[in-house]
Parts: sequence; C-alpha cells; structure tokens
Amino acid sequence: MTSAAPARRPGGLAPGIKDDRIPVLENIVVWISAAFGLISALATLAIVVAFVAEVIARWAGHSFDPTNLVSGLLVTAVFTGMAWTTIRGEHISVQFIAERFGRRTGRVLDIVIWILGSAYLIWLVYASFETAAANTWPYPEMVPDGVSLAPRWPWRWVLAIGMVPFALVAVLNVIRALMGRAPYDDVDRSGMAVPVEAAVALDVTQDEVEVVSAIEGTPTIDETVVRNDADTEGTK
Amino acid sequence: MTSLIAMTAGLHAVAGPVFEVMRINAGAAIWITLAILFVLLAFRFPIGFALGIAGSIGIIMVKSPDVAIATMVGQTFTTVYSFTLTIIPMFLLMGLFMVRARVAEYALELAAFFFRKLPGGLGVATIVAAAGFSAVSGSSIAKVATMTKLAVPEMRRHGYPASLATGLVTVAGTVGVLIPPSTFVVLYAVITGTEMGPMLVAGLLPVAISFIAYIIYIMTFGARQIGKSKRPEDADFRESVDALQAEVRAAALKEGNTRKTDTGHLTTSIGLSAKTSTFRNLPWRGLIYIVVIVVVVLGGFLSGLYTPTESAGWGALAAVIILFIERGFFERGHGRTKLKGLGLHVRDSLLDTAAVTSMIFFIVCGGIIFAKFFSLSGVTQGIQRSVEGWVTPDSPTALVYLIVAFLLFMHIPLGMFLEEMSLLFLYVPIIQPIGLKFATVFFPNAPTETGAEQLMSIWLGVMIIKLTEIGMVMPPLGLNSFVAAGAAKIKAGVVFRGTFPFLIVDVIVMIIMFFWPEISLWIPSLVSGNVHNALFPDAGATPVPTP
Repeated sequence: MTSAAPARRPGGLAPGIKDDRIPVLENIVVWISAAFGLISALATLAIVVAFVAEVIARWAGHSFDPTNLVSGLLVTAVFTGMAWTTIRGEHISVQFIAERFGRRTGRVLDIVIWILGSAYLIWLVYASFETAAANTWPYPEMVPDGVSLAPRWPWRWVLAIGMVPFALVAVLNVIRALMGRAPYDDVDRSGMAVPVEAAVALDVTQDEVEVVSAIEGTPTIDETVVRNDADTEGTK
Repeated sequence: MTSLIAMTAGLHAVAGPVFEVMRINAGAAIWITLAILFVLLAFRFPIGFALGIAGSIGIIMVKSPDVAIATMVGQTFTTVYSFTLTIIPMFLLMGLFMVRARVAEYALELAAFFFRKLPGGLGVATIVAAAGFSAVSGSSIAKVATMTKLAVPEMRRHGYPASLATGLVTVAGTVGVLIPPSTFVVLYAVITGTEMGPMLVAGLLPVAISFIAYIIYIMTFGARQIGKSKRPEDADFRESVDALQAEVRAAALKEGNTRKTDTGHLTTSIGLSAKTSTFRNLPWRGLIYIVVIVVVVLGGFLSGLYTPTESAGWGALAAVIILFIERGFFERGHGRTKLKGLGLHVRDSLLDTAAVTSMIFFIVCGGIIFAKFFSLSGVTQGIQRSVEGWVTPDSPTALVYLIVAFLLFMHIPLGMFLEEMSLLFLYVPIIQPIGLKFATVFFPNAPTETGAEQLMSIWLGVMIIKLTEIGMVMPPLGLNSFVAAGAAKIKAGVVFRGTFPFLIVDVIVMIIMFFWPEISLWIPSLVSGNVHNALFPDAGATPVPTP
C-alpha cells in the first residue's frame, strides 16, 4: 500500500525515496519530483482561489474572468504532478497477468517497460519543447480573453518543463531495474494497483492516530511520520 | 538538458526513414496497434503509457511522426487547457477533504441507527451511507475503500457472508459515479460537448432507483444469507475482519471519538454502535456537512449563483471549512498542535489531489492519443458506416432500439479488456454520434432535431456511465472490486462473486432506464430550459436561472 502522505525523512532525503536508493543521483531526482509535486498542489489551490475570487468579484459588480488562468493552472497541476505521481506509485496498471510471471521475468519486464517508457517520454519532452518554441517565436500564441487576448504560450512551456522530471524518473527506473531494484511506480502487485484515493481512505484512520498522538504530545509528528514511513516501506 | 534535446533531435532525424517504412495500410495498422496495446497492458505498463505508446505507433503507421507529435503534444495540451475540466481536481479535493472530515463514518452511524430494525438493516444502512458519501466525494475508489473499511467488519460481525458484505460496499460505493460530483460525468460532457449543468444532475434519479433496488434486494434475498454462510473463505475472512475491526476501534478510541452508551459501555462512533446509540448523541453534524456540500455544489448552480464549473471550486472551499470545523472544534487537544494537525490534513489533501489528478489526466492524455488513432485510421467512421448500413432513422423503431441497445451492450465486453476511463475516451466518440442519428426515433415529440439530439446525448451519457459503473466492479478489470478486496484483505474473486447479484439488479434498472428515458431527463429538464422545452414541448418555455 502506498503512503497517503508524503513523509519527511531525516538526513535531507527526499520524501517517498526508496530505502535501497542509488546514492546522490536518486535523491536529486526524487527531490525535483517532490518539488514539482508541490507546485502541482499549489496550482490546485490556486484554482480554488481563482474560482472563489471570480464569483465574489461578480457579486461585487466587478469583472474578473479567470478562464485562461485556471486553464493554465490545470495544465500546471496535471503535468508538474506526473513525476511525483510516479514516485508515489499511483499510475494505474493492470497487474493480474504479469503477477503470474516469475521474479526473473518480472525484472526483465521492468527493464523493458521503463526503457520503452523512457524513450517515449524523452521523445515527448523533445516534442514538447519543440512545440513550445514554435508557439513562442516568432508569433507568441494568444487566445481570446474577453475583449482582449491572453498569452497561452507560457503554459506550453509549463507542460514541457513539467515533463522533464517525469522523463528523469523513467530513466531512474531503468537504472534501478538494471541494478535489480524495484522501480518507482512498483505498487501492490495483486490484481490491480491500488490507487491513491483508496490509500488515502484506508490510511486516514492511521493518519488520525498520528495526529492525535501528536496532540497528546507523544510521539511528535515528525517521529510518527518517520515511523509510519518506515512501516510503509516495509510493506512494499 | 541541451544535450538530451540534441540527442533526441538526432534520434528523430535518424528515425525518419524508419517511420517511413512503418507506414502501412490502415487495416493492418489497426490490428497491429490493438495487439501492441493489449500486450503493453498485459505486461503491466501504466495504462496511460500503454494507450499513448500504442496510439502514437498507430498514428505513425497510418500518417506520420509529425501527426503523432501534433497529437501527443498539441492535442493533449489543448484538451487539458480547459476551463471545464478544472472541475475534476476540484471535486477530488472536495472529496479528500470530506474523507478527512470523517463524513463517511458519521453517515454510516446515522444510517445504521435509522435502519437498524429492517431486515438486513446494516446492509441497507451501508447503501444509504454510501449514497450520502457519494454526494460529497468525486472518487468512487475512495468511497469503496472507505465504506469497506468502515462497514465490512461490522457486517461480518453480524453474520453477513464475505461475498455479500464486500459485494454490497463495492456496488454501493461505485453507483455514485452518476451522482455529482462525478469525474466520469464531467469527462463525458467534455468529450461529447454536452451541456454540463443538466449532465451533472441527470444521474440523480437513476441512482436513486438503483439504490432502492439494492435495498429491496438486501431486505429480501440478501437478508436470507445473513448468518448462514458455510463457505471456507468466511472462516478465513474472520481473522482479517477482526484485525480491521481492532484497527478501526483503536483509532477511534485513540482520537477520543467514543461515547458512553445507556448501558455504560464505551463504543466507537464508527458504525455500529447503532444498537446502543441514542437519538440525541448521534453525530448529526455529519448530516449537516453533507447537506452543506449538496447545497453549495448543486444549489449554487441550480439557483444560478454560479456555473457548474465554479460550483466545484466553491465545493472545495466549503469542504475545507468543514474540515477546519471538524478537526478544529470537535477534536480534543491544544490549539497549536490542532493547528499543526489541520495543516497536515490540508497539505496532504492537496498533494493527494495533485497525484490523483495527474494519474487521471495521464490516462486521459493516453486516451486522446489512442482515440485520435482510431479516428485517423477510420475505425470510428467504419463502425458508423457499418451501423448506417444496418439501420437508418427510417427503419422500424424496434430495430433502431435493438441496434442502440446492442451498441450500449458492447461496452460490457470491451470493459473486460480496457480500463473504464480509457474506454470512455475510445468508445464514446464512436457510439455518441451514432446515437444522435437516431435521436428523433427515441424522442419523436421533441420540437426540433437539435432538441432531440440534446436529450439523446444526455440519456446516452447516463446509460454509458451506468455501464462504466458495471465495468468498474466486473471481472477481470473491475478496479473497485480490487480496491474492496485490498481493503478487506480477501481475494478479489470473493468480491466479484458478491457483486454478481447486484449486477443483475443493475441490468434490470438499465432496462427500465432504456425504455423510459424520461427517468434520466426529468431532473435535467428542471435545470436547463433547452432540455425542458425539448422534453415537454407542450408545457411552454421555462425560465432557468443562469449565472
């Protein structure tokens, strides 16, 4: 079961990083992914704020059309969160055929999946940057925004940049698979991977215990989170 | 980064001639692409990858790499750059806040109290609680997982067979995909260009009928199974149930969420202190939370205060306020630590929403690429031409009904091989245009063809999403059944067996919905003047508020 909450770990290690990490390289990639995940979360929060502000402005007799802003924020929320989603093992895959394969075959599959996935993502990154550039120079892409025009080209760069850590995680997974380690996105292998909403729902009770423990003073939140994260790692 | 791009550009140049060789006729490309897709899916490729890679290869085979790139980057961007689709993260965020505000637990406790005297009362309570929770959570997966965790241990303690208990929570949690807030409804409306407001509420009456049908089943056939199971898995299951029960009670006791009953015993608030709870100490605030969310989300756009898209944002705001009230006022502890706990809940909800949103849109993007391949290779048009060869709007009505029923039914076998969200992107663009051609057959009283098409699109949406719901619990890919099995720590086969009687109930409900489309259209007619005028041409125009 994946952890519902990203955990803070001691020693400057990235949240969600595997215990059998590859020194230095892996920590950097996972930190980048976590940072992008945070950007994705903040973009989601910004969408809420934009909607609320729009309606309040309308009630107050002012004009504020956030259509292009929230559309761009959705692009940000989606594409900057891809790598973080992979680190947390949330992408859904069909497991019930592959689970019948042996360990060796499973490892070969991991290598094949992530080599193909990396190649595809690197191609996608290249294509995203090319398309972003083409939509920026010489004529920046604009879209109607009420009576004026709003720039849409920056959001194309957000897509391109957001895909970079996703490609990096895919490459990291190739390296891990080649070294005989389980890749990120290697979730519960019985039936279908259990997605994050289920993990959250199931872990909420546990979360409550953590929070209540903190409220009661023992142990501290950090200690609990670290302990729970260790437990989670153990079950993987 | 520069070297990575340069390397990719080099590869791109070298790959050009290879791509030329790959170009083959559409017929062969379709079979090869489908084969690639199924191999990738079987080899546990993430579904978004499988759809994207197979679709891109298919597009290269029938067109060119440039078209593939235009689809991969261009079309996915323009689809995601959408005001309407922002509903999805908003509904997800709202649901995750509400899970953390313990709404499911309160709903279950209330329902358990009120239905405790009915035959199969606990099962009935679970269904009613799932309905209440569905009104505040946009994720059927979260609903199934939560209800499994809360209700299954209690049902098992009361002698429900493992298959009945888990089958019930799986189906009851899943049927909410038609209740707003619903990701599937939003996606359907976006894919087909159907008006969002009426589409969001179209499922309310069909879902109500489904819930009533489930309750009738539980009170009749289901109640007979309680306490009589001798299946081996029920013995095995007891251990995991005890563990779940202990886990839930320990958590509840630790958070002080307990109360003394009339008999002086401590009980948890979760579920099923129903026998000992009194009317006064029921968690009524859970009901208030649900009512607040329904009023903010549905009431807001029904009254014209804001649009359906904006209502999702306001729903998320209301949910976070509820979370603050629940965790801030009703939780014991010191101010500072409570604040810290609240901060953790908000932060985690946002991060979880980010992860789920990316996961959903990864599949959406893959679906867009694969659907584009279908369109470019002529699959979509080919199927439409074939159907037009069998039947036209002038054909006998019975034949038209038969063909549309057949096309809808095809969703079920397809759902056995494809995950439901991707299927939505692949199948809806095929079936919806065909359905619209027969709109005047299904709705002969609509004053205009456009009106009939609007009714048809909404009705088809409800039918397709109902089928999606069936696909989400049916073997072999029924995701929600796997979620319930994972949460209850039993084999998926037991859950699949338990869902089977409910699926028969669903099929009966679908037959009713098929022959009486008004069931799916009556509530939309209250929301949209266009729908009202098309459905009741003699009643005169009804002004409907617009923000």
